[in-house]
Amino acid sequence: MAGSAPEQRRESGALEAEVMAALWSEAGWLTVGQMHQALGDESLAYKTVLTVLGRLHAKGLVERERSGRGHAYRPRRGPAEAVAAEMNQALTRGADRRAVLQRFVDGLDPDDEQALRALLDAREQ
Amino acid sequence: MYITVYLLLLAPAALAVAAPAVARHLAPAAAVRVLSCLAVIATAATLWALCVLVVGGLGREYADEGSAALRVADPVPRSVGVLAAVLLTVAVARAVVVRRQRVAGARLLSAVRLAPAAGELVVLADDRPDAFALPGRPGRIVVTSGMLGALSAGERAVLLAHERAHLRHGHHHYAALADYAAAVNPVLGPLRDLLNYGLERWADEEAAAAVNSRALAAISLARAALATSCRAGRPAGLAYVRHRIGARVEALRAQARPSRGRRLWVVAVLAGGTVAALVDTVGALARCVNAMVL
Repeated sequence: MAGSAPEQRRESGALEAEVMAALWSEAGWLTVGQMHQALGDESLAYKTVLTVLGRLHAKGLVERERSGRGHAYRPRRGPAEAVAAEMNQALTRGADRRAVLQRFVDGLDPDDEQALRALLDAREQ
Repeated sequence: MYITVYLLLLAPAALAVAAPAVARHLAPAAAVRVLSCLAVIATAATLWALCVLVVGGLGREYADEGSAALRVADPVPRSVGVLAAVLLTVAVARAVVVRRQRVAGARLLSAVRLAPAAGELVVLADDRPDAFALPGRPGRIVVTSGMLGALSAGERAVLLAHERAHLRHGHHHYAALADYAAAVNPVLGPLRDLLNYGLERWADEEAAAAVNSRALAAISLARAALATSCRAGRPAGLAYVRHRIGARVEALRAQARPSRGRRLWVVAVLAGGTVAALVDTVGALARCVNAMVL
């Protein structure tokens, strides 16, 4: 997986993004230890993960509750809902997506779709 | 000399025809840079040739009736001058429209840009899988919760690295350049599409390097594309295939290919010829203006 990459010290911003992405992909509360595991990167120190989570909490992006000796974390929906509303509003008011945004994936024709399904199926077997 | 002006008008079409070879023979980052140069040259050739024809065709009205010098230096028929003026006006108007759309879009999205972010990442609470880079200051990676839920940890790392590559290399500048070029001269539409595809390939390659696995990058792309196509609530009519996901996945599954620049001598000759013609007509226009003024 990604963790096998011999990564040099990541920028703290990049790590924040990764932690946030991992929190959102898990539906519930995550302890620091579980978070550490979810990131799948052994070169990453437990303490670093703790620091990043603290920073996200200070920004109001995650909420935490006591869990054993430490805390468990999960993303706060409030800010994400607010910004999703902003985004939808911008789009309905006519912001031309193509003019300002670069999308990861965009449109798929049926032939492509079949080929991609075959690729994922082959990998899962 | 006026032959040169008409050659200049043909140059964008020739460059657009030659452009796919650039995309074929160069690695994505190099291809994007070369295609951008071609776009600049072709756009300059279009605008400049039209300007010269306008001055040559309509300029006589501003000169003395009896100016022999002008008649000699100015074989452009008036009708051609009028046509060039119309085309030039349309080209500039289309470029202005592109500019307006960009400015308006950037303003409408400024709230998204200023929302609290984890590093560069802004998460939208939205079940429809979607992800994009929002360029500007500060640049943002915007991903919906639906997309994050659809991907594994490694696949998410690919997605973030891909969007980060867009931001770090200022890909929106290349995309803007391509948009303007296609607005000024619609013949350059295919060149714009090639350039946009090149930008996605460039970001794909960077993402693959960041996670140290082309296979993982390919899987991530496939998973994201399928998630988006299954669950997007978009009207079918809008589902245009701009980024050719299938081709991108195939390219990642194949070996990375080194650039083979030597194959591109035709493109180099065309581009060089166009630049030479541009320089030539600058001199010609100067003579023409001299003839009118004197």
